[in-house]
Amino acid sequence: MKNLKYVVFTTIAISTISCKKFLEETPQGIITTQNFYKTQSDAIAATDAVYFFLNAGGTGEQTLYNVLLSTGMDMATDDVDPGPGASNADVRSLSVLSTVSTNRTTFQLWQQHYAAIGMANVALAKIPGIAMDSTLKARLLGESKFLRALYYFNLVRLWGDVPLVLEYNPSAVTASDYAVARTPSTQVYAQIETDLTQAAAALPNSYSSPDVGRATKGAALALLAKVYLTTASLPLNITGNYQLAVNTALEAMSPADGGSGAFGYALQSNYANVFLPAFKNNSEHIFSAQFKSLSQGQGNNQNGRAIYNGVPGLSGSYAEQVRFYKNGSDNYFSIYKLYQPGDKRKRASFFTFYISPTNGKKYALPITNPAFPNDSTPFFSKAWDPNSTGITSESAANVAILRYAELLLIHAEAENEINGPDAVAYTSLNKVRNRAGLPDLTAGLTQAQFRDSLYLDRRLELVWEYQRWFDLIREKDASGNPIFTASLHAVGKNNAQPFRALYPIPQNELSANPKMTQNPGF
Amino acid sequence: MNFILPKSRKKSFLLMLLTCVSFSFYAQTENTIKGKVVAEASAETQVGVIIRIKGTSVATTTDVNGNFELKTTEPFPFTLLISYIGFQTKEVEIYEAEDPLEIKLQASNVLKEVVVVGYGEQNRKDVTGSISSVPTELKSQPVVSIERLLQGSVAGAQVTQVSGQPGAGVSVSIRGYNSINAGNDPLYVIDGYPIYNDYTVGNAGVTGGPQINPLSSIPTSDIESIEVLKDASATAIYGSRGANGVVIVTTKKGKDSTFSVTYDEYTGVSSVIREIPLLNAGQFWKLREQAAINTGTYGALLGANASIIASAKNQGYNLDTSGQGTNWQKAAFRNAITQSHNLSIMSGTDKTKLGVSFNYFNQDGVLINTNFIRYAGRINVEHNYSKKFKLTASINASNISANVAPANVVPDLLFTPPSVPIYNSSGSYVIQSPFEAANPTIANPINTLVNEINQTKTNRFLGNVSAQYKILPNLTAKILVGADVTDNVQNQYLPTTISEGAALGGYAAIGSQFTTNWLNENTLTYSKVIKKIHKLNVLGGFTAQQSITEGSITAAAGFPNNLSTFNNIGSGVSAQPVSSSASEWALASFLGRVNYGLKDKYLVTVTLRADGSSRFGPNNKWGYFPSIAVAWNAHQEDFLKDIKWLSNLKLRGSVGNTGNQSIPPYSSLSQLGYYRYNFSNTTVAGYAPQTAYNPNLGWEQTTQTDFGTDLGFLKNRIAVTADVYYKLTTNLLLSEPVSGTSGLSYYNATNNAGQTSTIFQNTGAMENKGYEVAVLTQNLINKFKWNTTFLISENFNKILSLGDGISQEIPNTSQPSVLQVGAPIGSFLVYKTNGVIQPGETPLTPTKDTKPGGQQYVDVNGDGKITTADQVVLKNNPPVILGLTNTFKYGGFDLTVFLQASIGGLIYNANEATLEEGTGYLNSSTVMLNGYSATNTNTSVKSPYQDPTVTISNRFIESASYGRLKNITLGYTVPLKITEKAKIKSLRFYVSAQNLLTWTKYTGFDPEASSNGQSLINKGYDSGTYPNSKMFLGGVTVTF
Repeated sequence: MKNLKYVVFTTIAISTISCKKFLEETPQGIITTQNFYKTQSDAIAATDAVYFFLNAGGTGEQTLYNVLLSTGMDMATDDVDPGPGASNADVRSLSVLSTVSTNRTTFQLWQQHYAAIGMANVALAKIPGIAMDSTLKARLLGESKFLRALYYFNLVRLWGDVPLVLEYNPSAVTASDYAVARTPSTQVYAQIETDLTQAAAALPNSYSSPDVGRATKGAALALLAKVYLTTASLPLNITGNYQLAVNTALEAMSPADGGSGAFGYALQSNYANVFLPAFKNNSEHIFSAQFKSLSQGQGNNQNGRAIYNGVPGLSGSYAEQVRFYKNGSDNYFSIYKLYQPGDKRKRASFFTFYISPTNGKKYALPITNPAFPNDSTPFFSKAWDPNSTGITSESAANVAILRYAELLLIHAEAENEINGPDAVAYTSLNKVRNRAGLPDLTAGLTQAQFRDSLYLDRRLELVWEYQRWFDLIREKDASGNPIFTASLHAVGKNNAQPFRALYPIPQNELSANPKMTQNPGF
Repeated sequence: MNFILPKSRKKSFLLMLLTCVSFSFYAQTENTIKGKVVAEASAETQVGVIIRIKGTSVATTTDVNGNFELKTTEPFPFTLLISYIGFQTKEVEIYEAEDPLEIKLQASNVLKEVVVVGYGEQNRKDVTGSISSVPTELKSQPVVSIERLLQGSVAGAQVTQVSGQPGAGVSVSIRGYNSINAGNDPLYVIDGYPIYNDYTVGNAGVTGGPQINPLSSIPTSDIESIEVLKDASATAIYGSRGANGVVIVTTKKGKDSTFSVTYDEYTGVSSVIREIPLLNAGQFWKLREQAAINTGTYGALLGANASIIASAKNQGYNLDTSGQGTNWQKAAFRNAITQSHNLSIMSGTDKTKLGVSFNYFNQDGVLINTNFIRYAGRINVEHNYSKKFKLTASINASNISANVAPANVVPDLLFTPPSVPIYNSSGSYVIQSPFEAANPTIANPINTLVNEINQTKTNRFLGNVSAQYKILPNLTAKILVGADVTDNVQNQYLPTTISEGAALGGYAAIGSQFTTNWLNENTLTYSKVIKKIHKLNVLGGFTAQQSITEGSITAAAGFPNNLSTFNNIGSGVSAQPVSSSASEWALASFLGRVNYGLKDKYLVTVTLRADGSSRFGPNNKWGYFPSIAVAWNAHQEDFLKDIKWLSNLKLRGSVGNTGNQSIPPYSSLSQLGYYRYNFSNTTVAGYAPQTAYNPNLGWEQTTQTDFGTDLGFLKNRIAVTADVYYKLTTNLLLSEPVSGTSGLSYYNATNNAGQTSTIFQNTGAMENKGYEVAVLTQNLINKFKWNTTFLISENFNKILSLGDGISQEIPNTSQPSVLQVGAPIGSFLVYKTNGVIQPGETPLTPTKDTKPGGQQYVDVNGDGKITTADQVVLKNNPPVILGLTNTFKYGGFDLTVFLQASIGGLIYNANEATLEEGTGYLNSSTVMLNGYSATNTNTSVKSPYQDPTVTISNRFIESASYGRLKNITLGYTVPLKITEKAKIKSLRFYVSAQNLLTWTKYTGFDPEASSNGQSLINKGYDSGTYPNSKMFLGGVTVTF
């Protein structure tokens, strides 16, 4: 019987570990969906995540409004080029419009937009069930709807018909559960309009600290006006929407500018201040990607990318370059040359030299063409932060996604399309011109002349703000044809063809989603 | 205590009493034992054989004629221990001073008698499964870690040294590739402790560049034996972790009645196997101009050149545009010293065996400022308290540290233009190449190597104690408790003076990670021989293992100076993302095995293991892994007994199930990710789901069938082992790509560069089939001894399914590797090149380089243009693996020549792909000197072009076949006659060379390279891998 004690001992050894408990996973460093979405603060956190892709949250990766819309889109326009520091072959091929479906940068754009939409869908699915303050709940749902609309608006403009996913589907566990077909772009736009209308009804006019930077009612209206203007433009050409654009713009515009908005929007008197971190979230800001300096990498990386790399004490990668191209005898023609004398926007949008913070000397890239003596290559300056010269990639400058100057231009453009260049259209456009130090636009222009002038001012006003590509595919010439191909050919981007106005569906998406089809031409 | 002895005990007590009486009776008599020692196979007498009475220090050696004479007062009976290098130690019981003995010794490289199997040992002749042992002469190779000893020495093991960083990665697969996402590394069982060699336990996540192999914490000098379990019968006892094979490592313990102190030291010099021929400064400058001419931007280039030269002047140096320029490889490579000191003390009495060892190993890398240092200590104790009760402890403690080459350094050595000097005129480092200065891949690599701190340090404690008790004469209980504790600390500092740190104002990061893995095993073994013909061994048990990992990373940037490096992280003004993490996994198992042998001829093994794993979904936590094997020792049948030349004929067959569970914990749960943003300049934390919930997530299952035979001829002077097998893996744990519209990408907020959306699930299937042959021969067995070991194995791998309707998956879109149904893992998807575009030809290319001299591609689908549809899959089957070892012995001399070869297999030379872009921004290889031009049209090399679209083509896929003189060692053992006077039992001097000669057509540094480390799904991608090296060394082993 003595052996019994060993049997007992072994039995104890076995039974001290209850198998079921032992094999249960109770993660400590990770929160799971099961034990979240229960409290008011969970609801806020679920909403805050939807903003993540605007600034990358310190991951150091390129996200939508932190570089990616530049490397994945802006560089393909007639204004921007990859600089010597941009060695990514995908970016370089995109910049000369020879993108293929395996391009990783455009793939990243696709993935991030849908990831962000997924986060919005989770918030919209989970927050209604959380017991919390009802006003706050409505606001949070409004924020997610606004952001979902913003992300879909980008997607539908970049790819045309895109799958419209609006549900959070926690029970999908196989690949086929996720297969989804493309939705006609008109339906996508209809959903964007619905989301924005609902967001506008739920969102407050403004926020006070610590919530400044969240989506507001004014932002929802301004974005809706832009959506209407876009659908009224090429390629959809739903011209009836111009009137909706005007109406919605007026709802957001301040009474001083003829609108009925109670949001206090006004142009900054000094164009340069619009972008400087010291004036962030000013009266001209409608909705911006929020950046923060020296805080776990939440800085705006665009800044360092635009800076010339030979300046002692100022490290720059010079990966973002102003497009310079051959144009007849003018060997170094670019958007930089389009500014009229006296246009204050030129000096505020570009540097032509840097002053070294260590030795105080001026550094520039001289143009070697004798036709332009003493001239220098310009550098984009809109992400510049005078306080972060030590670590240039940590700029606190926000990226404007919607600002009041653009709202005025939307109003002017839509008004011109409906009624020709009437006084209201002139007023709105001239507000923007006058602030730039330019005189009123010549009176008595034809509709087409006014349109061309407005297009030019729009381009100069919004340069390097991720707008040009969308304008290239939206805008038309006097005979109503797209300006896309001609504009790009004019600056030597000769690969441009009409079909390139839409991106190829990423190859990975085609292989993972049997219901997906490729855009024509690819 | 209980003083009433049970019946059986009373008997033995009386017996003991009687023996004691007889001992004292004979104590005073002196006896002489005489004899002769011969080798069994050759009948040749052996000189210098040590004959010792077990449990005493009484010993003698054989003379030149092989005779010995031993005088002793030791009472009968006693045991003689006869030991001699190269032979198995033999024990002979002596009952009286009889006539001269003839003692026959068996050479030790013939099939070892006892092999270690899962949870026990077995006589080789009773084994039913497929088990290989690493031959003795290959165990002493001067390598850092255990796995490298398997290379070319075990049939069926494919071992690739993927990086030359000292202490870094080895990729190991046994019998092919069984998994896509859940790992292909075998399970290592070190002195009974199962370890999955998870590189993440030694990687806190801070140090860049190659990862250090956690198994390098165990010195190979400690190893007594290595057995590799290959078929399902042998591995199924490890159930859920057995699918990739099991490597059982046993460390050295003291032997009965011996005391020895052995000191081994060697010093070696390693150098890089080859350098890649690159352009010099003048050639580079010409190519740069030619590239601009071809692109039509010559005018712009002149301007750019002027400003680059000016910019260089601004920074205090001149660009070399016509001379030799900088040879970056020469500046970075060196002759590196390796030192190893090993001291081991083996001591044994009849009750206690003790093995103590200490190892110091210091290997400098062939790249400056890289190294690996190890301190390791071990204690193995086995104590027989009584005939029934035995205690065993096996404890290894080690400290390893390594300076690791930062990831970008090797590409930078190749790509940095030779026109750029290392130093500027004031003697400080040039920070960046001005050609594409901003790109961190062309930081000054020498500056980075010298000034970047990139180190990893690991302390590891691996130990277990066990108690064994014989409950009944045939029934033994064993309880084992062990722990594997790994603490890793990593430090990185990027000073402001290097390109990588400049933009951040200096960057420091410290990571630490603590992993505690504990194990408890409780087994009962019943072993009985019934009526001398039924041999029965039954094992049953319960085990539990758990692992807990906690880690954290702290980082800051913006340092006022570089003085305190990473040691004063609080002085950085710019807060960088910090993190901490915790994870756990647990495994509970029941196991059982029955070995039954009838008349030693017919053998059956049945095993079953049930494993419960925390990693899986609640619906599928438990898996059951059965196997059965039969074997027939045919040479013992009467009808074969008389065939003299046939000494062994065994036929084996087995079938069984094993599993794989190596997926990260919590994979079945819907985890939330942390997403940061800010409002009002205040950071907020957002949460959103990262993974989908899959309650059905379960085991990957591998069914393996094996047929084998063991043959012995001419008294086993020729021994052949051959196996064929078929493995089918189903329910693959696949990270299956799903539509990006799922929103399931960017699950990892810290790495979202083009990440594919995936979900983890059990789908897909894969097969491996192959053969293995090992031939061991004793060619000469007289004074001049010559043994040969020859191995050949080949595995055919095929992906059968990747899940519903998916025929192809690309693990990383910027690399050529592809997972393709019908093709092996590691295959490539590439465009096919078709020479260069000749004048008048229609250009067929996906790039912009469409002028004559551009690369021409094959329009596979004939649609007149080159699109992704024209890419073809190049199958990359695992290579045929060959190993040939010859050992020679004559007098005191021994010579081992070990050749290893890997035939077949492809490698993508990504370095060369960049070196043949010919942009004029980065340097090019000398191949570009033969580039197309108007005067050199008959060439396959394209002309330089400034702005190429990167195309992954078959031009850069090369054969990875190689043959290698892996090791050649010449040793001389000083005759015992001489050393005896200095009380030295053995003294051996040796010189050795590792990787002395390599025969390969591969044009990169080394065909074993893989930038993706241990990963097999995108193996054979050589992009800036730390080059492998060759080494010469000399050493001495002395035993007192």
